[in-house]
Amino acid sequence: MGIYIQSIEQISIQEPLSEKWFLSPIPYQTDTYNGFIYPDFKPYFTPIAARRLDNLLKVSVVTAKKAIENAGAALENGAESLQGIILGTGLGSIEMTEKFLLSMIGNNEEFLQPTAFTNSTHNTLCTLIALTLQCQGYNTTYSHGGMSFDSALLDSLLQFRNNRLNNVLVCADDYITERFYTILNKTDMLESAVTGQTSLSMLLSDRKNDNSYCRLVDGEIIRCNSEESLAKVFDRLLERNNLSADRIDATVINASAPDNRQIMNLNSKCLGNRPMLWYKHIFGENPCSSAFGIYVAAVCLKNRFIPANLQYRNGSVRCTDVPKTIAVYNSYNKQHSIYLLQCLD
Amino acid sequence: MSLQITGTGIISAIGNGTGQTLMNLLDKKHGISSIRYLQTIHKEIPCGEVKYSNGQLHSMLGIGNNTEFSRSAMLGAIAVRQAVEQAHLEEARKQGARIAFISGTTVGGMEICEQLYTAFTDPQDNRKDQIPQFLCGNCADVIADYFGDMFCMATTPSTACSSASGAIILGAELIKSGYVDIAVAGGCECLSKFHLNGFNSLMILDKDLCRPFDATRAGLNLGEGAGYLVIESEEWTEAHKSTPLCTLAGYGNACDAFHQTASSPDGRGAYAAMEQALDMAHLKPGDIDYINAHGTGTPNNDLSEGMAVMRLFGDKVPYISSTKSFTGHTTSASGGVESVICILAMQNSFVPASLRFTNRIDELTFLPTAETITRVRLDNVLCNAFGFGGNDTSLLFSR
Repeated sequence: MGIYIQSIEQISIQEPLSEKWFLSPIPYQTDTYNGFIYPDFKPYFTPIAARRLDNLLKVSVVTAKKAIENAGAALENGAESLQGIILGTGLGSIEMTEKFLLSMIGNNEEFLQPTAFTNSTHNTLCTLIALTLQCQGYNTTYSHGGMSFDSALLDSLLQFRNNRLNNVLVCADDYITERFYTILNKTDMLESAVTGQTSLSMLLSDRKNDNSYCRLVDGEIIRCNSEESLAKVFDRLLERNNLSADRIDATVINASAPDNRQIMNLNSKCLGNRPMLWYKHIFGENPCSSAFGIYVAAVCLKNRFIPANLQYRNGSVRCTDVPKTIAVYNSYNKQHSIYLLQCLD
Repeated sequence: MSLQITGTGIISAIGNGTGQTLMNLLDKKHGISSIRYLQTIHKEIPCGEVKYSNGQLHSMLGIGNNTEFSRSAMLGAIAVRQAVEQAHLEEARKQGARIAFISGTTVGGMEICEQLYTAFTDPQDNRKDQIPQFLCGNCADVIADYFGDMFCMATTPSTACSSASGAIILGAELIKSGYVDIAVAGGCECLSKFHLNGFNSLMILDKDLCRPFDATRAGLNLGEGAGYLVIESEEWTEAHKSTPLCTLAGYGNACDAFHQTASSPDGRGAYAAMEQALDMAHLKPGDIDYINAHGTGTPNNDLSEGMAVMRLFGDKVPYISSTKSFTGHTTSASGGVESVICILAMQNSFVPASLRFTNRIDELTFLPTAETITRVRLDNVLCNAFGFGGNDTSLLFSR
């Protein structure tokens, strides 16, 4: 059985609901605040709903709806055929969390309105999408920092493997507000990075069709301290899928700066030393930006072409002309994730 | 594949560990009172606090004054340690078992962020070490680190009050698909001003002790705690000599998709979750001996859950109680805390009481179990946990 990415929609710091970034991305500087570029919300929300929902809730619903709309034959009856929704978010609706916190601190725990509180819960995103699409199937949210989306994607693999679902919407949503940007700037989380915003929804299904982007072959999340352990997991993943490292045409890495020695070193020692691709100069750094790693790999595989812009500057080898298999690597704290994607025959 | 439960860990307002918990459940001693430890102006609101200060929790874990540990993480680590020891996971690890740690939480770390938020936003203030606490997944990483290289992965389901049950379901799926051999899964959540004021602003906190499934119920009492299970496949229990306590025979996850905070009048999500759990276990409603209800004590939940139970079980509703009347609503931890309570009930052949029930809800034909019932064989038990927005789960444990 195969798992196929049928549609992907994004709202980010690039042109919303578009793949223009692939050939002509909007350039960004590091160390500045970059907000979402919003689509026109009018077709999606009544004025009352638009006022009630925060920005992240709005973009999450829009990418989800568009991904369903564009899933084509994978969903015979549109949203009615959707069997589940799995979402990753590192911060949840931080805008609402901040609003409630500020009001609680400012008013010394008195005169509080519940709307910000109920919208602040991490699972509000996924359950609002379910409410909008009227999907009563499997529904869950992962919030594990930079592994939030990776966890959601792993769960989706399990749902197919264990024959629970035939299709599922997988989403990644994270919004760094301007206030939270100043907080994050005190840490090294955004150091030398383009600040990004993430709303991405993709429809996975076990049926492929002419519009499918690619096949999601397999994936692993591993918590380990040693390079040996990571290398072993990578080898095991390849072996399980009858692949060898030289069949990987490129590895998408999670570097946010063009000269990340640590990741380059890891790539050469543990990940088969394949040509590297990157995306954080285009989509920025954000807890759920790893979703864009899967996205760029999928778009390359669909277009059968890797633009020079995605090739990591310090990669010593050039990428093949027509990529067939791409690995996507991400890390957070002591954890690493590797996903394998393959083009359709 | 049969999934065995070989370890449990629990800490809540009614005690630390299964021994104290069991004794208080049998004796009908609840742990809900006015607030002692949380710094808030709402000290009079009854809550189920864990009866240890942060300092005491630090000593229990032997971690000095480590500021990486939020209260949620400490409660979690204490319960995980109990589960890990009971299942002899050190031995399993030596034999090369791949063990996942899955820990549900909603605002783990928030009780630190709410104290330091003003400092975080002040550009002149350089305190930054605790900023990662804003990412609620930090909690699971801190707990995983406490156990060295025990765990080969860690992640955080966050579906509000069903987070821990979601963790248990993910653990089961990871084992069934062969990704890992063993999972330690559950959840932790401490009281925070954020949660207390949030639930208070929704006007769903009872000013008195909660009365789940009572016609006069007026809301929930918040609690705090942690509950975890060790789940493994049968072959591993034999390999490292752990003792199966029961099996996780089925589970269900469905979304009510009705309203952001309210449950549907007929509890369609709750019904679907329970039905899925029964189907997976190949059991009929008549096979269920006890339901540990979500039973928060809010007018909306208990009616909606009750309607779903009636629809599924007809006029033969099994024993049903809400142990939130003992512990308070431990929010994200509740699925873990109440799973451990279900397993204690099965092992010790009793049904925990639903405290303070006197008046039947007009729309419901069944009564919750108001007294402790002992010497009753429980073969199959359902444990419900529902979250805001309709993240509904049901777990089915079998002897």
